[in-house]
Amino acid sequence: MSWTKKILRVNLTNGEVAEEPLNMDWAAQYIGQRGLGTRYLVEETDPTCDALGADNKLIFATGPLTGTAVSTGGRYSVICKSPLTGAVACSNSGGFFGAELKSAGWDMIIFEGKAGSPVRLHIENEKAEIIPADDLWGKTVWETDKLIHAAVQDPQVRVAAVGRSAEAGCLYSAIINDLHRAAGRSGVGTVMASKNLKAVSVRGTRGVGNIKDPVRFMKSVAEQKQVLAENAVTGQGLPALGTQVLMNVINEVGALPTHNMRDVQFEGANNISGEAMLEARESDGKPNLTTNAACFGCTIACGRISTIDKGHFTVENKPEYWGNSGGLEYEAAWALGAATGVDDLDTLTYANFVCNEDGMDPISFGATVGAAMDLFDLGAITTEDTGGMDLSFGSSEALAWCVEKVAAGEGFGKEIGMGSKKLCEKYGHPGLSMSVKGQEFPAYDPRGIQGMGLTYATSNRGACHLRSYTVASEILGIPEKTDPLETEGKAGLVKAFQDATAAVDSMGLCVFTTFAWSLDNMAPQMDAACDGEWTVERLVEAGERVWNLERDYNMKAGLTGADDNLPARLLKEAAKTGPAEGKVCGLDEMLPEYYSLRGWTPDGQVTRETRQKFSLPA
Amino acid sequence: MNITVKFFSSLMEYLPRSVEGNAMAVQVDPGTSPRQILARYRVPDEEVRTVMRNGVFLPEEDRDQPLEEGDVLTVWPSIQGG
Ligand code: SF4
Repeated sequence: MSWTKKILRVNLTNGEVAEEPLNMDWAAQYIGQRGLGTRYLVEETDPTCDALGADNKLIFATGPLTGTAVSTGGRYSVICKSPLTGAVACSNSGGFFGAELKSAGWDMIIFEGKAGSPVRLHIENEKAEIIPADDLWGKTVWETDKLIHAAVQDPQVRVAAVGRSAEAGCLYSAIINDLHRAAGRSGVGTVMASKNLKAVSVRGTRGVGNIKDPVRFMKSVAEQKQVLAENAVTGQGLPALGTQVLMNVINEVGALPTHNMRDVQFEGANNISGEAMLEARESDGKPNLTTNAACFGCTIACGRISTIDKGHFTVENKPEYWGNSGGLEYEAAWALGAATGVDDLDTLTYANFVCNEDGMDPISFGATVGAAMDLFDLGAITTEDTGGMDLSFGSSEALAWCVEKVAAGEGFGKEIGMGSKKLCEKYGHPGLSMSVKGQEFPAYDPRGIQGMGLTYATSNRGACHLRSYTVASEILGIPEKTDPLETEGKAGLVKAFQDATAAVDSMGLCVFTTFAWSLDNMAPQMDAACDGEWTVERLVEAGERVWNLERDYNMKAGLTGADDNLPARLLKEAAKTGPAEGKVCGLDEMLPEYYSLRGWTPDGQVTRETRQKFSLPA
Repeated sequence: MNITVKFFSSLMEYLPRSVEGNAMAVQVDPGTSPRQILARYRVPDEEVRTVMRNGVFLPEEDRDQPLEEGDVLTVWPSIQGG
């Protein structure tokens, strides 16, 4: 088993809360979490609906391994239609919330409709209650967390909430759980706020039982934890420098998108790197990084806990930011830093804190600030538009100002909150938005890492690195080294990564395990825990089914093959320095082969044969 | 000839004390190989995972090839992403 086989359905329009059985036929096909949540979304919503209307649904889904003893098994995903992209949104988060929800006895919560005034949902095992939350509206995530804990008087309650940015309609607002873990991308927080749902709190004491073969399961879990511990990446690298070790690596290989992707290398990279986070500050002799941290049940512990220098201009006289909080991951450090040209670690850490505090995706936020700075440099945005703020590349003041404005949904922050696509369209330079399907790129330049170009172009939720992390192969040599500057063979590589990752995201595990684990390491754990027989082949097939289901949803939502594209800057303006100097991204060399490997038409439509092969819904 | 050597992450401890940051300019005999450089700074083999020459990944079997004037040699222990 390992599914609790129960769904909580919450109708926000009429205030009804109901329990219903999980569709186990679908679970057998789509596993859980990302796959199964999307299956419900497809069944229950019209893909052409208004993402911020009452017809969109918001699904919190755990995986069958969430809350079990498998390492990193604490994850949940939030699935809905995205207001940023108009495509399917599925954002995955760690921390403790997902495991708590499962432990309360729920595989999934489906929110439908829209509340007439602000509410929150509180769950204690099988009891679920909609509670008025007018007092929480207008509060940050951190304040909301505190107030809910004060109200329920139970420190073990886990809270997922949206901040002020989401209330103000920022299109890339996140849902933050456990204060600094985020279902970060594609505006899932914006959808939550559009339903007048401020927070979900949960306490579960039932534990996750129901393991199919407990003895075999515990043996397999112990063996596979050993594999993580002995691996150089998951055993030493991630705990020590976290993902931030990548800053210097990606800069060296000339794939660090800088100044809104004008450049592929950043002079200040070392100043904002994982190494720099360990250096003692001059002012107080303390390093930025305090310690590492783990999500529920995780034996890797890649999380960063950091502090800001109390005398730094961003936090002067603001003691609420003086303590330990969630520090910079590589993606955030890149977006807040290299994309904007800001190389001051404390400013970046401050911006990251505020992104957690008021629930914004730091990737889309930082990249949109980068685009605004590009527009400012061209004179398309002026101080008249900003109300006086100089948005020059490299300005720490501008970055700190922008993050505060977007968090509060004030003034020019409203414009930055629209994302780079709408911003660049409004100011007359649509080509300057470094996005796919309206979602901003993460931290790898596809001119220097070609496979990532195809990854971004074809990602079902808009530009994203976590849909197929070919960096593992092209740069890190996992599972085997491929040449980052070559396009040949990348179509197959991207497809293989996409399918495997969809399976990992559907089981309830963290994608970082894949530096040490392949599906060969996961299948035995899944098989010992869950009903049915789970082989590697079955997981791959399920992953591919999930991918096609998401694609199908997007096509029905009105996207086409033409949306599998990259900005002209990456296809026409060659990299100026580094190993990729003179190179553009060869997307057109990879895309046709990719479509054919997928069994899609030359213009990217899912064929009838492919639909039949995976028994996709009509 | 003149080359630049950079050690990152936990390998920084093998940089001479006088070096600030991660990079040092060094003068070596023409024909010196990456492996010889690593030996010169006493970096244990088992701690070396990724070596790049001018940003291009250098597989284990190519680490005896001679470096050239102006090359940048970069060395990491285990690296990972996200
Ligand atoms: S590897 Fe990092 S993100 Fe993944 S579960 Fe562990 S601590 Fe959380």
